[in-house]
Amino acid sequence: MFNTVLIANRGEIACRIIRTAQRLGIKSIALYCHEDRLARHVAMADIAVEIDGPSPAAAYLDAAGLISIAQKYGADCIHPGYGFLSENADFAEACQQAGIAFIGPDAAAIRLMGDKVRSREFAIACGVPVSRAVSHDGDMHNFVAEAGKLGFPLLIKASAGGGGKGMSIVRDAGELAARAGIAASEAQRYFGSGRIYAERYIERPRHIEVQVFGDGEGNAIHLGERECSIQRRFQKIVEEAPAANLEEGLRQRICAAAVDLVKAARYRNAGTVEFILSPGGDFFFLEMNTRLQVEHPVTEMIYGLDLVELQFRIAAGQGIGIRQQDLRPTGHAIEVRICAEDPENDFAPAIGLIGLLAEPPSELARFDSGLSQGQAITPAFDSMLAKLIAHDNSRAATIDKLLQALQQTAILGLDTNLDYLARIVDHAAFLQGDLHTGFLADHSGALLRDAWPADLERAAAIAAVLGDNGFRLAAFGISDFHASLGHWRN
Amino acid sequence: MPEILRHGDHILAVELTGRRNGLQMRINDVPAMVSVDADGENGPIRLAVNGVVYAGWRYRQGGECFLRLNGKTLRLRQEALGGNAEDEGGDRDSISAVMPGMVVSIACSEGQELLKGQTIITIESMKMQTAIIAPRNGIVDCIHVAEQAVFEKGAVLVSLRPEAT
Repeated sequence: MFNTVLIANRGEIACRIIRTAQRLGIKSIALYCHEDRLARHVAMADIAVEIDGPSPAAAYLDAAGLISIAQKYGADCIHPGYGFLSENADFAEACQQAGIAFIGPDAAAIRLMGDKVRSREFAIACGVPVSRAVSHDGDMHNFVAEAGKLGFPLLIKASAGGGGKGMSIVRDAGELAARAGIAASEAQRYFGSGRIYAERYIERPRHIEVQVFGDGEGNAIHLGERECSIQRRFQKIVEEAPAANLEEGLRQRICAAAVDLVKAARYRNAGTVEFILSPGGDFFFLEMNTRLQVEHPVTEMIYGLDLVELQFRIAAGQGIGIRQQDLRPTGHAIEVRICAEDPENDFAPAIGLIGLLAEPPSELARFDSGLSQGQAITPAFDSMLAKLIAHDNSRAATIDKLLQALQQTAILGLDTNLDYLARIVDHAAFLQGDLHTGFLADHSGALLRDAWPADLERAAAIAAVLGDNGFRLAAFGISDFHASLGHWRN
Repeated sequence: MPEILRHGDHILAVELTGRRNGLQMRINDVPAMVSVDADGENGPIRLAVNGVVYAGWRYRQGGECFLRLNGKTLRLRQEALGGNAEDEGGDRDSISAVMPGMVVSIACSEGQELLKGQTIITIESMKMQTAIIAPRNGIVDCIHVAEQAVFEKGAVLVSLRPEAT
């Protein structure tokens, strides 16, 4: 096993990695830019090194600088977390060349999966379903014949288009030729080019992804699927494992497709294969992420495994160490991402101070964060503040626990989506597991904040004035907080 | 003299009317019997209003009060900033800005006599206008800002002539 890990990241994921490193007896080196000097990962690590760059984020992206820090402090491995340099093939290569283990796949796998065209071709070659497209090559008769083979419904789009012009949904073969003709003439009219293409149209798609691990020798396992259909601004905010209401045979086919891909790529370490799932049960390869995902905790909860530990072990040459047939998931886990943003204002990112932080009781939920009270949230980094993960025997019980945990969590001093997350998880369609990537848009009306109950507002006003020294003086005859308690505590 | 709070579009005027067996208050003329169990300055808070329990956390910053009560987050702004001057390190002789902003209008002139609670200046911060009121009776000594001027947190906006001691 390794001796010292440099964590090329910050925030909650840096803390997450340090926790496992501590348990495995691996010393940790944290990096921080000036803005992060008071952050929790800095305090948790054995060694913390300040880094500098043209911007705070750029400091964490300085590949050469990070490798020289690793060398200076004797790190024998680098964990990139997610984001930043985690999917940078050149960085993985540079680590290898410097004799430092990169906790992740080799550079070739990162390059293959990072190239959307090549990775799709690779998936097709592996027999993994990929949503195909057919282009109009000038011969309308040919186009109609080829597009019809894709299956219905179809979406016809202008190659040069945008904004819905020249776009048409075709539901059966009988209307394909006519719709294609209209789309081509519209495309010509709006964009000066009659070129169109067709692809399968998936209504109410679900985002299903499979957690995989490979040993680099062609052996691989999966740790089941996660559903990440609840998204805003194309970013996931609620994830769960297993996916709700997913038929067992289909689940197995999706997981098998992911494992086929990983074995064929002779992939090493953790990865996630993402699919789009149609309501009819067709699924298509979207992309593969060659790193640990933000939402990995839901998989950890149902399998009782530490995925970061698995990553360390595989990188240290110990192999996967787990057989597929021995893996038994239990119960259901759901994660919500607490972000500094204003859901009532198109999810605009918010900045401010973490003036008060109250974590939920650990028996209700796991709270992964890199927050400390008094910390400033600046526009320099991502708006995600923390992840709250609940686990129980059933999906319904997990939702109950999650709602209780949300209620017992407070992050005050700036706008967050805490209340919004509770409304999502408490929505009837969510409870039923009726999920798709348009969920938040479809239910946007119901997810808006209700009018404030007048009694709550009055109680809030009272609570607010009770914090005011002048008011305390009038009410209690004394403005000191601690002294006044004696008079009023029962 | 009620404390004025703003919550979104709602104005809440809170007045203490009695302090016998708990507190008696009026919020926008609705009477409330209040008892307080936990009351950390920035921390857990628990109170009963007309027999209903509200529990959660409170955090005050500048002229704002963040609350998480019974699982809901509320953000209230203190409209009458005068009562807040001491909290912000100001004193009774100078009125300073609790947050960065811009001067919208000035409602007094140097040498003018003021009554406690009188609006002396209107500022705009975070897209919201706030009236800054006199923390005590007194005479305007100096107005340190002009209309449309931008100021930082902590900037002294208006000074009053020192009180006779």
